[in-house]
Amino acid sequence: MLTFLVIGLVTGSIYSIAALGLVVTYRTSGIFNFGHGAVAAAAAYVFYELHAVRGVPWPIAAALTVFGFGVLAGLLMERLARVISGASTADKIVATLGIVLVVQGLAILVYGPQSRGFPQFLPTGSFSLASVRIGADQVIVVLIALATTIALFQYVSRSTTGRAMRAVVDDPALLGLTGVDPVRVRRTAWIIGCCFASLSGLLIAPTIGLEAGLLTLLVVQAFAAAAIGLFRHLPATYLGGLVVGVAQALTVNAVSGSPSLSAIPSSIPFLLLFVLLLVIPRGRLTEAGRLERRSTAQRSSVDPRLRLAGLAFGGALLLAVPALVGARLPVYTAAMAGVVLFLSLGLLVRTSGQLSLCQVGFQAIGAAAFAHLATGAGLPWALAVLLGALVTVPVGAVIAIPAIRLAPLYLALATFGFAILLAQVVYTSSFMFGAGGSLEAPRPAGFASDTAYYYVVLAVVFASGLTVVAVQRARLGRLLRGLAESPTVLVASGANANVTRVLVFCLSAFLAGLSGALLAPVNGFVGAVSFPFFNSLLVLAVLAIAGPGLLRSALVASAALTVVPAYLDNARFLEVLPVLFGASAIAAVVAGRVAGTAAAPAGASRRRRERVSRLAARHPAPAAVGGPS
Amino acid sequence: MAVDGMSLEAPTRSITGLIGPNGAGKSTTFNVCSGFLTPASGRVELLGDEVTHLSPQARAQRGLGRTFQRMQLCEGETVRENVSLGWESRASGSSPLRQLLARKGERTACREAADRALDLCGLHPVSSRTVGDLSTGQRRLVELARAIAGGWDVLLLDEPSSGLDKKETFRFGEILRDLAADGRALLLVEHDMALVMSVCDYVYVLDFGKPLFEGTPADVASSDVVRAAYLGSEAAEVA
Repeated sequence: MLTFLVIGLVTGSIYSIAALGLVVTYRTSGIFNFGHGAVAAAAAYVFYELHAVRGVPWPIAAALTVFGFGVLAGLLMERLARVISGASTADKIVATLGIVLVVQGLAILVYGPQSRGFPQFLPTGSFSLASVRIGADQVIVVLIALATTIALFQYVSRSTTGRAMRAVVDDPALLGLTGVDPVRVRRTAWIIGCCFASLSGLLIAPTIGLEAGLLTLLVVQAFAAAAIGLFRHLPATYLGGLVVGVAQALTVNAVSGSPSLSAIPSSIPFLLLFVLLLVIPRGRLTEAGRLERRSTAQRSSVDPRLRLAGLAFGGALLLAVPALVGARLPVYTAAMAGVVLFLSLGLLVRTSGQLSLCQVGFQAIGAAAFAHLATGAGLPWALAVLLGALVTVPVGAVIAIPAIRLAPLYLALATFGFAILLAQVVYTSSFMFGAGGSLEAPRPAGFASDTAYYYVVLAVVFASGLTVVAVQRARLGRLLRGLAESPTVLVASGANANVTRVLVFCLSAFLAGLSGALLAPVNGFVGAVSFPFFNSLLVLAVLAIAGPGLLRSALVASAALTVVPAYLDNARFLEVLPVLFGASAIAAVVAGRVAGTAAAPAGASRRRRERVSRLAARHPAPAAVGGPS
Repeated sequence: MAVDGMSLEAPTRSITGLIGPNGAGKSTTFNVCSGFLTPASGRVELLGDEVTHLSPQARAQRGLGRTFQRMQLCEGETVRENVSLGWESRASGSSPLRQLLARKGERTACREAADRALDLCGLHPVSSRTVGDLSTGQRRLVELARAIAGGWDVLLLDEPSSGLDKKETFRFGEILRDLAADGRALLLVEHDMALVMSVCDYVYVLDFGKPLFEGTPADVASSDVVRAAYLGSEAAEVA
């Protein structure tokens, strides 16, 4: 028991360091860096390269990693953050997710996909205390976390720049009037944040090895610690890290005799995150730096006849696919199923302005439910597909609860926590993909060939596309666009916006479930491996770079994600693809900001000037960072 | 800003003004009326029914519409779509089915309501333009048209003339008079004294969260109390 407590305090200390860096950058820039874990992972690779590959002594390698790479990453992040500061919450998330894709892709490109051992660089001596064996490295980690927390708290409370961090998000104009440069304050915050991320990556890598995905995910667990500190208070965030680490370690101890519960400990942070976001009073979770959404709707200026001709040509091309692609047809069938997933995400994110980082989780539930109903219960294929998709609807309704309560950023975090919980706890249980981890997924009777099944899926895709277009043109579509741009108007005009939110989440979950049910029979079986939670982040990033139009973007995004890799015979290209997706996602958000600034209409720029003058006349906002909790 | 001891009535077929210096409590009063704030004590009645503890949505269903000082518009939508949203939102309410689909005949009813509102506000020429491309004055009119299209009996207008030039303000005043003549009750929170004095039938003056004075625009303009506390030379000019 005490041994597990010590382990918990050590890992918790590392979570604390990561979480503190996250909170400092979030509160000063208004950008919640989903790539914070990627910075930590990159730092671990830098240290590995310096120390393990090039033989640089570890103290020098560690200093270069934290104060060299960390500072450099901070400067780069500040540049990016400055450009995207006026973007919507969804765009900010997409840009920082792009960092995750780039770092993970580069790590695999350079060091290969396999995990590597990470040197135990800290002193390895140990001593006994109350019959518990304690390593010197463990003591050092705990002391480093404590020292950095105290130093950071002192800096924020006492230094001019640190104090300026308190107001910079809420009122940069006013801060500028006081003679403090907001850019300098934010740059300092990003440098601190990235140095903390680097330190946490460096300290956690010896425990888990050098594997980009795992490193990214483990530091992401700091999200829960940040939630305990209400994404604001530094001492509470430090304690939050310890709570997460200790809770996780004690759970490992508690379930050590039950292999079926072995997935529980690693899910503790995400469970904590999800529950905290559901129970923390709404007023305590205001989103820093959130701007009211300006329109992201891209109206088509194409002549309707030309559009119709394009649709007809596209439809004919899709019908001709089996005759054109030969043995790659199953890839196209999977891509068609993916189109329905992207339609579900587009409806949620683009039309209604909501966010979901668990869309692939809905897809998995639909696929598993379909397989159980079609194979286990022996229902007719079409009925099994329909019911399989319907099973996801109540899950969508559950996810609408955080959508009702929370600002977009926290909704994203809650859905992300939910996605990981699904993957770690539900996917691994026998009722999801069976005891063997895989279920048979049949094709409809009489349509078992690849070609016949392609046409079945294509028909469902057409029907889904028509449904989405009909929804957009119907009353619900208008309400959803109202929800995206001004939910206050809906409420003040007599519509219940919460009902609208539940409806769109249910509809979106249904379509994602439908996509899963269509995808499963492509290979004839379905298992957890087809639905990694990380893909929920990937699809959001890919949708962001897929251009305008709900239908068109769904086709483009699915083709980019599924069809393009099938033509990349060179394994190297395949490894580069996530880097390209990530870099393109960042570029799309940056380009959107630049174009948005350049192409703003005259009225808009006048209104912006009016807003700025109002901003300068306002009183200072309350403290944003620090202070005892 | 806390408001204490305030009592106001906005009768039908008239325009009631609520004025006061910055921080007087106008917005608080306004939000209490529309349901975005719940009062610690006191009551709010709408068309004879008590609605003190009803949500803004429920009040809208019972006939209370409003505009916003900081305009709330769907920037990427056309003028007609924005105006129709008032009618559609009220018609859809809390029913999932009614949010999904319009009933038979509702499309026509919505189009006609939007047409009437666009006509009244002179927005027909720009009805297919995107709201984000319009001037501040036109956008204010779109907000007003949305409130008109919703068919509300009582309209709360929160500084509707801010950002408008003199000509636009004059035109705005005319529309407000038409709305009142049509049988609606209008409560107007406004900084533009010329507009208040020219269109309002009755005016309440707030200062430091307390009622300072009430009466006709002429009474207000000639009141020494109001002049001393708030209006100053501006009132003298108007009078």
